[in-house]
Amino acid sequence: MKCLRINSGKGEYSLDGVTYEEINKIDKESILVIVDMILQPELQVEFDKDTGGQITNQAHKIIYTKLYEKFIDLERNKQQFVEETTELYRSAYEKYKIPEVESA
Amino acid sequence: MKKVDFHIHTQKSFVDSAFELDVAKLKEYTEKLGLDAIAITNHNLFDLQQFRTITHELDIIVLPGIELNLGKGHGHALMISDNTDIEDFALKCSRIFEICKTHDEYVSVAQLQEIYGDLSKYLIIPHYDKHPPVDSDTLKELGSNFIAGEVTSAKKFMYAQKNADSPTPMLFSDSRAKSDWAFTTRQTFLDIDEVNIASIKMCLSDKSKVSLSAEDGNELIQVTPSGVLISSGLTVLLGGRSSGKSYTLDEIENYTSNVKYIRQFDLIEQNPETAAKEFNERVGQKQDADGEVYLRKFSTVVEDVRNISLESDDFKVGTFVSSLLKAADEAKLQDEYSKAILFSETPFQILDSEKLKNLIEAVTELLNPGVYEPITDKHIEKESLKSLHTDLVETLWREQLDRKKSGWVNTVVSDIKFGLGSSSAATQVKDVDLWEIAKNKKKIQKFEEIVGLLQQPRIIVERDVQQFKIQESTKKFMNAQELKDFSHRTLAFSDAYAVYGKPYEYLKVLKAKEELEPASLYKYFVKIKYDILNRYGVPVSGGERAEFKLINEIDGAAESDLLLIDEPESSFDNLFLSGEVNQVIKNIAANTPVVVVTHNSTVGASVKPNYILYTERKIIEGVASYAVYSGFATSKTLIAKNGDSVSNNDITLKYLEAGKDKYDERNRMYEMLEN
Repeated sequence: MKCLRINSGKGEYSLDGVTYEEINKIDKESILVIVDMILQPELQVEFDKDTGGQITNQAHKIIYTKLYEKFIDLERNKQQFVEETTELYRSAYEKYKIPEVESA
Repeated sequence: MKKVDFHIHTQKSFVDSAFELDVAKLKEYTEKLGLDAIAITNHNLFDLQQFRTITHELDIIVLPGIELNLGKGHGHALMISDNTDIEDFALKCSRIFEICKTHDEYVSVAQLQEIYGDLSKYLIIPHYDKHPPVDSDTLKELGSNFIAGEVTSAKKFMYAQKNADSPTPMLFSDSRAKSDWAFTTRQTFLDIDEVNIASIKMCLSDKSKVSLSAEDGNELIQVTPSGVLISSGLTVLLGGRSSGKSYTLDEIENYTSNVKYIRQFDLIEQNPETAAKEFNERVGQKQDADGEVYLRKFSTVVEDVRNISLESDDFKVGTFVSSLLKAADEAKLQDEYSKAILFSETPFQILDSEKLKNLIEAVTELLNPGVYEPITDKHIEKESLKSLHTDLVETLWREQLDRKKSGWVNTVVSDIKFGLGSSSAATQVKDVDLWEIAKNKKKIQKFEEIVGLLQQPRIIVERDVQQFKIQESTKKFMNAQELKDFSHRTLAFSDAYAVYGKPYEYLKVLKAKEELEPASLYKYFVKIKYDILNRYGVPVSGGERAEFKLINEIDGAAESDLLLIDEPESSFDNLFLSGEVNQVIKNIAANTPVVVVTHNSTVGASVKPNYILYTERKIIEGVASYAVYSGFATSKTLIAKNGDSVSNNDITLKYLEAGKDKYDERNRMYEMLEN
């Protein structure tokens, strides 16, 4: 699913891969939704790169390039990003977790 | 009667640190202590050549011996031979030297028999009430060859003498004959005419013939080389001013080990201010720790508010409001940068999971209740607890991930805002965490309320210790000087004390004092006061504290081998002396020899001593010397070493009652009062 794309010199984002909004309309909640999608192991999220200055709107350019750079970085380190949050109390958790009985 | 020391080291072995034998010192020892015989007993070795040198130099009987590692417990035992066939003894000992080269190697009784043949020809004295002792199986194997055991102190000697199950005790110096040898009075008297193994063994088979003094059986102990004797129970030492009482006590202390010496004026407080604190430490109760516990919760409050600055928060809000107003004013001037949503986006609020972490830790505690498991099991099923633990940890992980994601987004948004803000001509509304600012305000409000409550005087702890009550309470600091004293620094506190009633302002002033440890600022809000109250509930006097101190000092002396007390009556009243002090002294004297120097009849006579010592300073041809007279409390006369004697009754009346005339006069006065 493509979350960031470039269209007619402007940056655009999508939360469902179907409808796209101009990047200057993105807010923190929408960024968080994309982060959640990136962190889902089974979901393939794609972002268009602004190669050769396709984005002409300067405001769009600032937002788009920063988001692109950060999303790519997160995509690369997503496993570590999640694992770091489950280290605390890990050994006690393993010790007390009751194994789920598999249904026949 | 022969005085002997059968445990002297002259050679270094694997258990000793290196030392050089000083034969002259050994000779001085035997002469000064008036010994009739000694034995040379080195660890698992016998040096024939050195032995010959020693016997040549000394005028008394020197027996050849060895200190063995005997039996599986690696206990030590002395084995002493007659000096008839020394070469043969040396040869046999060389085999021991081959066997016992380390701490862990030992000879068994069977090996000993194999090496030395008939053991009854030797005197074997195992460590008994002394470290390392010979194990009980080995003692059994020694059979009739085990008649005497070595002990470490006069106190243990007396105990073994009284105890029918103990072997005949022997007390020896167990010293190294080197140049800095500090002599002791650890020797034993044997009621024998000749020093040889047969007669010694005969003597040892009768406990009454073995003692720590040349006279009066087992009731007396010789405690100085000059021959001063004391009772194995209670001895009272009398004498005029400068008659040598303290000198005698010091000498006894020098020649005895493990002595508890309560010196004159030891109990008088030098500094009344610190006396109460020392007093508490003496009974093992660290009051500081209690105050610390009481203030612990408050310290976390201070820790939490220490870095809050309401002024800085106000400034942030001010900047936010003015930037907001300016942005509103410029609404028409918006450009493509400022029109982007992220230009004025606010960050996500990040909350912590402290509560959840505490819950997880509490559940973990419940899962590991130790001895209380039956109780927790009765009320909560383990399986439920485990599944609760799992749920809580999973929730925590989710919260952590959410927090991390929000943090990540906040950073990205902040970067983009900065990028847009730098390019735009429009005013960017400043970020401000109003939640945080509101929380800070509330925290300071609570902090001020808590300080108000904290500063109300209250009693924190009350504890009974013997006849006293230890009370710990809080009170406000009363002035800047008190704060300064408390800080133990040369620091002015008048600026701080001026705002002591306004906790937030006060904390600000304290924070500005760089000399003060930030983590200790909480201690400056309320003073913890320690009081020791007497039975009437009022703070104790110096005299009362001294009484308590004395009782505790004497009580602690039960562990010692000898207790010396120099004039306990200084600063105590007679009622206290005749009641508690006398009782404690008597209790101790039942097991430990006690010597008390006193001028006071309440101590001296009422305590009913076993033995009396009387010291007198004599000047003969311009040279001062001290004479010591002694005798049982019931004797008519006290006798000195040179045979001089004084009347026990006269001395007792003179030094405890200020003389017979005064005593009679006082008695007449009491009779008159009564009539």
